Amino acid sequence: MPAPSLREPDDAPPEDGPGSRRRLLRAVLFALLLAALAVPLLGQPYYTKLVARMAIFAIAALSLDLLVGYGGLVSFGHAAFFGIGVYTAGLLPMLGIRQAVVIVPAAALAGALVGCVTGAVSLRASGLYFIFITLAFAEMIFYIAQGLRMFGGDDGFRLPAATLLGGELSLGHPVVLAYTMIGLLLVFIYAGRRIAASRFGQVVVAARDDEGKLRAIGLSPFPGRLLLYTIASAMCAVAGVGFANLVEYVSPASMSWIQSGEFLFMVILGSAATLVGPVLGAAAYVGLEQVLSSWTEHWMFWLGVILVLRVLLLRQGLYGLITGRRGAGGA
Amino acid sequence: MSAGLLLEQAFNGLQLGMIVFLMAVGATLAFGVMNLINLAHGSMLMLGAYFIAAAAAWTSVFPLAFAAAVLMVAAVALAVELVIIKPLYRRGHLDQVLATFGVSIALNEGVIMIWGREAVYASPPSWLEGAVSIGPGFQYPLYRLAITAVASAAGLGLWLLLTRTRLGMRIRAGAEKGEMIGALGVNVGAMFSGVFVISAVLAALGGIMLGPLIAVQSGMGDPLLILALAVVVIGGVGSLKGALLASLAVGLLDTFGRMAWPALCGELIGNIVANASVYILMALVIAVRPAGLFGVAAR
Amino acid sequence: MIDKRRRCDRQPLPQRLGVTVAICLAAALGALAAAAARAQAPATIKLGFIVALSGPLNVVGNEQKRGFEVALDQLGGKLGGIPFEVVPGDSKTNPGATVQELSRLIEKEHVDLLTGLTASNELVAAIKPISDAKIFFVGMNGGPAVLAGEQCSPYYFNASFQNAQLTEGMGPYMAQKGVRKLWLIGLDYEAGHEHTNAARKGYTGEVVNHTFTPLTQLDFAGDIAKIRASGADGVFAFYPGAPGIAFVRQWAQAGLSDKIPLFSNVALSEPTVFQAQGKTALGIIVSANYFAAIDNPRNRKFVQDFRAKFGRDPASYAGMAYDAMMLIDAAVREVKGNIRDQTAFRAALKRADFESVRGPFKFNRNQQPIQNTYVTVVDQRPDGSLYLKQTGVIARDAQDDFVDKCPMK
Repeated sequence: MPAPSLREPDDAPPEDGPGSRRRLLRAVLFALLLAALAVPLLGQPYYTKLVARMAIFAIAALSLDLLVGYGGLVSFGHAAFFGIGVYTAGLLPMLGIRQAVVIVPAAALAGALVGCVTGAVSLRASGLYFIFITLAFAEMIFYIAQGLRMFGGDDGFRLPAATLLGGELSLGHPVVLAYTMIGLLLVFIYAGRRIAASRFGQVVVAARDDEGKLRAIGLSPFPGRLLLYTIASAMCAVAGVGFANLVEYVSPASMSWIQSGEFLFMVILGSAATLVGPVLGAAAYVGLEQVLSSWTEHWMFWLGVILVLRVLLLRQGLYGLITGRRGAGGA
Repeated sequence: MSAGLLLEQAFNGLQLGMIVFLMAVGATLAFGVMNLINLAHGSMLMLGAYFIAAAAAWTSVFPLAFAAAVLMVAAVALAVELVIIKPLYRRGHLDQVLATFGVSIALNEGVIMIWGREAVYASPPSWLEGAVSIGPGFQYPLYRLAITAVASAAGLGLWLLLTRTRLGMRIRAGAEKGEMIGALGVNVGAMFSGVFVISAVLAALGGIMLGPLIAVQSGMGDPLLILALAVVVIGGVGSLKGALLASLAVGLLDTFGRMAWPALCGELIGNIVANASVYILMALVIAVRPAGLFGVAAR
Repeated sequence: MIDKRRRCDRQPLPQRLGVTVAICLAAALGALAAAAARAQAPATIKLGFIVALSGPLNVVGNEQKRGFEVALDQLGGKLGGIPFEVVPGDSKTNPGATVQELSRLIEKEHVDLLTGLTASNELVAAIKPISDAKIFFVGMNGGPAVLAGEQCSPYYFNASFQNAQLTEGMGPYMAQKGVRKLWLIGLDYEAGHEHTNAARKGYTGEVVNHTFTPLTQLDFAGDIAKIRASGADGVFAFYPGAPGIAFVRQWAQAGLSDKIPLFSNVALSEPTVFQAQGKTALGIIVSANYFAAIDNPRNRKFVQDFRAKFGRDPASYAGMAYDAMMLIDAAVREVKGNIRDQTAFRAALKRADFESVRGPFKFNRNQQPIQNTYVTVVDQRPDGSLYLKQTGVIARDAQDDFVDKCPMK
């Protein structure tokens, strides 16, 4: 059985018609990108914020897809890093630091550090144990945030000041935020592709598919996985910085296990192991949430139903529906 | 700190541990036998509480209401298993996590749609109200003792089922090597359904008993689910002995920890540690023994 | 091994293409349509009503909605004589969701006025977007200290209570009732600290302990055990919602109902939880700014209408939501519908020239209420239903403690 492509997914030759699938995908993505870039220009702050929200969650879902799709590592605690990014964006202004050029790398670094430490322990476990140890660490971080009464505890606190890009540009301005997040998203998609194609990326994917064989040829999956985990954590933290600026609020809710579950939902809605899939999934999820909650106050019920139906009935997420290719890992 | 307080807290820890055990043993059984991660397990506890409240409104004969609630949960669990869970056995853990997460979200909102948002009243049977004297000058609520007793009886019943009956033997064999017993002619599908329903009923039992004690509300089972999953990991997946020991340890650690940590580390750090103590324990256990205390190497 | 999946999975190309193009077009068109159909200046007033209809405080939010609905019935579609329409929103007991909903109400639906909100942290998150948009907001529930003090905003009028006001005067009252050794216990979040500190204020006896329990904790066996062992002769507990129901039940089951008096404010025991608490709530002493048995003509009418519509007494959340609407109605009437004259409208709101169901009600210079705090006890009517019976007034025309930190005049 041919393994899922280790190269960029849409470069793999489709089975019928040279490049027709690829052209279709490119067309769809281009149209979406165009729409995303055009909306902020319409002068409608509500829709601009919606696009920013989609981009922020897309980054988070993308970072999770690196773990879930490529690494086969189902993390149920990824929101912890999202929250770390949110808190970094909220706490640094209290020290007088407002520049994005400091805050964003600081968030990434914080996410990477915590990711490296927790990943080192979590990756000792596998399967069910891995899922729950990631959940456990996320809960620990959640309780720490919740216990910090000087920062509002469970209530959280208002973002003291928006992150500044430089000059007049502030991430507190919806248009700036939207474009910045879209830009970062594109950068991270490219980075993800490079990772998937890199040597350690291939080791991680091979470990996902057949760890035994990998060990048999003398390679340990652990270092590659840890590196992947660290990178994914850093990426998610950057998304968190965006989120803090979007809602202008910092609270432990951003790192709850429910939030982790929502990120997983986005990944699978879009198709795992495709990088672009989760981007579609995040956009779809945000849209779905908006539409459903405007119809009924019991929107959570329908969200649950949709999730179950997606898992049971569809063999692929949005990405797969468009290209006809399944993502890896049966999702 | 008096001896009476310590004794009372010990009983409280024991009671918490046994409730967690009811949740954990079902989860560990489901995973051990069917390799199934079930995040809707907390919803089964919640349904147990709602059903007993509803049944108690129809009939004042407690055993009847109790039986009705158990049957209703069993029915719902069976329906969920046949329609949603069966296709998932073959799928990876991600699919199981997500599908059962979806079921749990839907059920949490579903009970609101049926019973409304306000908490529902469930009262303990009158013959279980009041307190009992345990030791000199120390009273303990009878109902809490009853909870511990019932949970222990359920655990004992399960142990007897698994070790002394043919069904139990097949279940244990299925946990070891599923393909083999299928090849030996056992109806694996029916057995899986049975295990799922048993585990749901155990969780519901916890809910039925907790309902009169705490509030019957949407999502009431989720904090206990997380705790139970931590216990499963600590004890080792698939191990009943591990689930029992870990549950008791967690129950006592949590109860005594809430008294001890703030006293030891000051209020700020103490509260954080007390809240996170179970997870800290889980991380420590995994770091030392990645398969839990009594588990076999994870699949 | 032949991989059959690849050939069987795909749908035909034209169909897929059609579907995805349709989705993209729909999204793009939707955005353009929204841009094109911008709201013109309304002839009617658009009132945004946003409360927590889902999430942990959804019981409170839904009760606010009930009080709001009684007000709507009485107002008959007109605020101060001007037709109005309601644009509802769900804050989901979540500050992030609140901000998102506010963005929808303000930037998409272009509401002229806002009212509602349920949780204190929602309020803190909401103030900036509301003030930036220069839209008046009348709060229906709660009032965190920071919004009464340093972060007070001219656009925020609190028609409910500053958090500490709900328990104002409880401290001296407990001492007066003979409590010598007090144990205070509450939920471990900002409001929990505010409310229990308010109860402690002015208490002259000994505070045995002041503890907090985690937000998800519903089993208080350990805490009740500690209280019993401490020899405290009075307990003040702040537990809203589910923990409140659980605490009251377990307190009764531990046999302490007639041994140690239990004090609280309306968060612990009031009409939305009476049914779940049952007889275990009898005897709890509750402080409140509003309760159904307050005796004045406006409240009698309100309670009558509420009972007719919903079959039970209103809780304080409903009463205050009703008051907020009546306040807006009076202010709009005073400026004859010209709410865009913000100076005049703000003055009208501040004058608060309406009949409150609570009795006396005025605004302080930080636009927080000056009102009475009553003390009640949970009692039983002849028909078996529970109600809050007034036993006294523990604070008259009380201001909040943070007004001096607010720079507003």
